[in-house]
Amino acid sequence: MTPIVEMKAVHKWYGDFHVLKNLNLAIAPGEKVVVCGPSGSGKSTAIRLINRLEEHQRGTLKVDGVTLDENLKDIDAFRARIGMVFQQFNLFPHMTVLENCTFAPMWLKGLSQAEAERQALALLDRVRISDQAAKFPGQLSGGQQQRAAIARALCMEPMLLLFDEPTSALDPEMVREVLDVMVELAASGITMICVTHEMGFARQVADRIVFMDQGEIVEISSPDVFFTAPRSARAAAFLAQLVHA
Amino acid sequence: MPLSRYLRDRKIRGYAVQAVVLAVILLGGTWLVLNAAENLRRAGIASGFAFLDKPAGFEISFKLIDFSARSTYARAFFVGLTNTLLVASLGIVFATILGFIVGVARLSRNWLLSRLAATYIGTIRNIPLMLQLMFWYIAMLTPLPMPRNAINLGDAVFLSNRGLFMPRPDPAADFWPVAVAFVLGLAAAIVYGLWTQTNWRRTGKRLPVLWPVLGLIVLPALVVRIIGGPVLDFEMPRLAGFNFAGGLRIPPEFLALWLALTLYSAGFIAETVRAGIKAVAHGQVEAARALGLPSGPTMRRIVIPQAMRVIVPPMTSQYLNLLKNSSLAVIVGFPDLVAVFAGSTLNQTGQSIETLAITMAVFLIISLTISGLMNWYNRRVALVER
Amino acid sequence: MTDRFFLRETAEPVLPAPRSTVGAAGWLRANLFFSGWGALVTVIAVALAVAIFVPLLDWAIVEAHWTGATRAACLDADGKKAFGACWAFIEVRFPTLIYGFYPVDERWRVDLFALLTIAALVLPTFLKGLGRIWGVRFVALAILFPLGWVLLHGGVMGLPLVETSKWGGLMLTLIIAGSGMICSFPLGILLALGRRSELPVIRTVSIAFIEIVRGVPMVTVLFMASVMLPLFLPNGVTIDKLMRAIVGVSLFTAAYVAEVMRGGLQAIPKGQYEAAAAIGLGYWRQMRLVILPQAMQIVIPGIINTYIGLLKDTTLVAVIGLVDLIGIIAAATADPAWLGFATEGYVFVGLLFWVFCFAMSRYGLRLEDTLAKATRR
Repeated sequence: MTPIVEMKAVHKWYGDFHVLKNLNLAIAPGEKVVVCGPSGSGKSTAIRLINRLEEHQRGTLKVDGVTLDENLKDIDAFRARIGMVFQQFNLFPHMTVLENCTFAPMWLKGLSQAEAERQALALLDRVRISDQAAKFPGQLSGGQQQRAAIARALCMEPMLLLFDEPTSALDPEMVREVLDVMVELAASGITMICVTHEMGFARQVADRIVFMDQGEIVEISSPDVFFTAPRSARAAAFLAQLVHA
Repeated sequence: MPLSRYLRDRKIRGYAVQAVVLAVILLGGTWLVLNAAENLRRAGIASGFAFLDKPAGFEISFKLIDFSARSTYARAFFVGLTNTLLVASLGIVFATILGFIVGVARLSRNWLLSRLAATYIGTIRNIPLMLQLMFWYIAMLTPLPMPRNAINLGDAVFLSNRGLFMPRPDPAADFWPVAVAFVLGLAAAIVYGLWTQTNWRRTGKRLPVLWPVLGLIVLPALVVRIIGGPVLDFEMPRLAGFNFAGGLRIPPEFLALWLALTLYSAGFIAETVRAGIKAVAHGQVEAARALGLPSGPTMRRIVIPQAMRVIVPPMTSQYLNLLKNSSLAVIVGFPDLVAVFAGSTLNQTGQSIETLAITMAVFLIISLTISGLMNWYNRRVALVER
Repeated sequence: MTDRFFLRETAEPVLPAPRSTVGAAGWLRANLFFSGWGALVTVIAVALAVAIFVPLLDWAIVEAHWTGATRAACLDADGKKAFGACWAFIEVRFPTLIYGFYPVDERWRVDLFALLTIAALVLPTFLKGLGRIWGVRFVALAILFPLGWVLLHGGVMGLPLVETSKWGGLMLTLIIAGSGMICSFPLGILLALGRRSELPVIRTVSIAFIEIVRGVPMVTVLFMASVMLPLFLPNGVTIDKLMRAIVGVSLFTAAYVAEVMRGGLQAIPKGQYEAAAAIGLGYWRQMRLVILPQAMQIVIPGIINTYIGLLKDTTLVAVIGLVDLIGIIAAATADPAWLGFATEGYVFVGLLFWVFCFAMSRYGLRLEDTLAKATRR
């Protein structure tokens, strides 16, 4: 089966700093991959390569068969097929939640306002905030905003979802509601790549755990192996630290 | 109750202080007014606003409405006012355009462009406007040739040290069909523009906007003109003796003032625009990109609406500053409101209090109105929060 | 095809970045030639820069005449004005630019005043605490300036009288600016406090003053001070024309200082006001000991910005007939011995102002940074 994301010997530099070293990773369609590691390990940068919010300087990166390099035509159309959820939500504050969700589909997919709203309300319902549809992001709690952001990403019917530390900016009592939504999404069969510190979620949902440290992939294991007996010393140290946190 | 108890009571102290302040203002004010009355009487200067009906006795070199030495001071006031509003509005329009361009250039990824914009901003903002004005006036007036050897553009536009001469449009009687056609076309263009929006919402299809709108604005007037024949005469400037006659004359004073005001305010507006665009969190652009939105709608629908909230208040201040700075016209001899009324009129009638009060009142009214409008706009577009 | 699972055996080597992305080539690519359009813009920008700066530098430096005692130094063989800036003109008229028409024998008084002012500004830097430095500076200058006036004006203690009409040039500009800054500061604070007052009379008067002054051009305020002030004083009492200008400038600036202070006062948490009141301090002691020191920290950059504006606005005193730095240049260029070098004069004065204003704005930025770091959690 052709992998939906394929990284071969991918390197990235910020100026002189070698931030990503020789990444090799293949993700199958429908797979749930959790990327974790200490801060500064490059995990956010790595997943941002996938929708080309960041660019790599060496190596091959293919997403759904499309090679990502300078020759990539119509990068916007490409990005529209990948959904992303950010740590800071990044909802558009001057539009209502509903408008946030209908804006891109109307603009890019030619949906009429009625069709876009129908789709949006269905997805807002799925993340359980359809009653907030007419509110502005500033009126919502953090957890509600992140769920709205997830709905907004889903409205474009992406083939792949990227999550960049989606719960790190939330107050603890709101983390649960967002993780619940993500668990449901996982069950629906869509490919998900998550950078997160939420190990409980990873244990529950991930097919594979990718552990990164200092810009390199140190270990890729199944959740059972990773959480009970990590094969690398660095992963063990990282997990030990998390328990104490 | 002992007096000290009274003095210590805050409320009573408050009343006492206010009473003292009021007394000082009233008594002091009265003393000042009495002095003024006495001094005016001694100098034989009249009081009151009767002077407004008297003939002015001076000419004004640049005027948008008719004025001669026999016109009243009141009319002089209006000439000055229209001149001020003219130079200020032209300044505001061009300063905004230039300011936006420079502000966006300052944010450009191109290092050279960004540096050039920064140099412009840094130079303009740190040199007094008066100096810039005098520079343009001296730089423009002295080096330009005499009308006899004026710089000639197509035999229609002439630039000399007596000013810029352009053809003056002179509408003929058959101008009206063309004008009507133009207005109708404009209305149709607006209606079409609005209709495409509603249609987009309803069906999701984006109809072409730019060319049909342009066509609707330009074509009807053009067609009517072709059918009807030429309807606009131009009075061409012609060299007559030592100067040009006819045509539209833009004096070098006006040019220098407009240029200085535009360039100066553009520097400040550029910084305002830059701050506004930077104030929009980078995450907004990333989210838009991640959804697949191209840079057009990202800028127009996501970044600019958010930036405008931050840009409008300081921009309004800059507009008001430009209006107030137009009072420097007196330096180069352009007859704006301050020069004509608080200058010439004050000097001739000696009624400094009345003329200055009226002049200041005009600026004050305009300032307060614009500020009020801006506060209303701010409240309307404020981001809704918990 | 990559394996599903992976365990790293050896660390990855840290490699140098590809040559085309770093160093000079990399920087050029990223910042100037990142795309077709980018390259085009760069080319146009370079053309523009060359078109502007090359003739400018040519005139100002390369072909300039730097020394000479008379006009002849700047003429070419035909006796016509040679291309190139005539800086000799500036050099010869330099003392006039600085001192105006102040008598040559008495110029030591101006020098003394300048030295004392610099001392008042520089010495407090050895104190600790931004607030205290500025407090001491302010008090020192507030005492120095009136004394300086007496020193410069003379007429007492054996010093010959030098009327203010003889003061001019850079000296006059700095005196007006300095006096304006010193006078507007306490007045601005009072107005800002008055605006927040609970007493309706005080509040109305403060708001009225601030809004009216901010709504009118400085030129009209100067006219008012210059023309109307004598009118409102009893017959026979005259106020020196320079003093009138300073009054006008101070009142004008005070309104803007008040608005900057207002922002600072608003930024202080209500708890501070309440705490100060709770420990039993009277209103003025609350302000002096608790509120204003905190507000100062916040508003100093804004005040510096306002003062930069003040320095630029001093140039307007020309409309009431005072001969400041610009007025001196205008007079100097009218001198028949040096006819035709107006551009050099204005460019030089522009450069002077630019240096002052730029230095002040840099200082203000540095202060903002320091304050931001200090208040960041």
